[in-house]
Amino acid sequence: MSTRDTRQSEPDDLHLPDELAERLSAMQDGRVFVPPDVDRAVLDAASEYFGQEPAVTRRLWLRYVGPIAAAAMIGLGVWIAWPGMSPKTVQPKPVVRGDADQNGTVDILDAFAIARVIDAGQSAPPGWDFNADGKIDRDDVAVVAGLAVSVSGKADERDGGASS
Amino acid sequence: MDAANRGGPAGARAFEALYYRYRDWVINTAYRFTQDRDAALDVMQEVFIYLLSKFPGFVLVAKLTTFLYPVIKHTAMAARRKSVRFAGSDEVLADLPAPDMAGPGDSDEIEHVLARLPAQQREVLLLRFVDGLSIEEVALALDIPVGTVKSRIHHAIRTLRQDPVTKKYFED
Repeated sequence: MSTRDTRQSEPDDLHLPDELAERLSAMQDGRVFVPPDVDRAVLDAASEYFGQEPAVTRRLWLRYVGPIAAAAMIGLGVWIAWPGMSPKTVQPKPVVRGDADQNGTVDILDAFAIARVIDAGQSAPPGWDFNADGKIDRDDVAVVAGLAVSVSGKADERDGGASS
Repeated sequence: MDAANRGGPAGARAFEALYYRYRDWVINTAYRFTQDRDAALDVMQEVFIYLLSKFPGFVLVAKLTTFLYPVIKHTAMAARRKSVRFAGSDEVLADLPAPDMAGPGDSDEIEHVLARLPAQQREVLLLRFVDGLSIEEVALALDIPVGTVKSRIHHAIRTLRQDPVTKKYFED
């Protein structure tokens, strides 16, 4: 930080000899050691201030990624294996049109169940051909989704499997 | 400075660069006022947090040191006033402890000479010849007229020129 290039042009009464100035500088430098945690505190504050997640917080967040992912996997496994939720438990001939999981109502879970089976490449029950086009595909998912969100659709479509 | 004003990750990186460039100067300057290492560390942190609060939109019209010096001084004085309950900054400045006696031999003696100078003369002397500020920058940092800076430097140098410990530096 020290610059002494302007001193030479000063009058003597405002000029300090270079050697003495250097001795003064040497005495002033390095008197206080700054611990790394002080540096980190200031720079973390700056990161937060500038809208950047501080390094410590990032590490904290990363620490929880593994457990969160593991919990999600366990939850997914339970969900698939739970009676009534797994595609394997769906009966081939639903009583209500679009009621793929045969729980008595047509909702968005029926559409998910069909989509999951299609995405997994598994063979779907023939009763899931809800649009009666001879194949079970995304169009059937769309039909069931449409039924699920249609308030009047539920009552109208309870026809004992009219399309199957 | 422009990068820091833009904010975001680039702003944080620019501030980090500023921090490492001025950290040692800030801590050493703070120590001049506090003569206590822990207090100097506290002052340094407060100064940089204050500097941080100036972004975005910080416009620097002179050296950053001329901006930071009064902040360091004010923060250190406030901390000192809080601890010893002094009334005015000049009284606090006048009552500043003499620089500690670090270093053997000649340096030790020079410290003694420096400690005997009136605090206001010592302040301008250090700003001018240790921190490397021009006379105009010292005036800006202290918010005093240029003539006052020159007068204080003149008197400080006259004392050093006459002191048995330091007069040899003027004879070469």
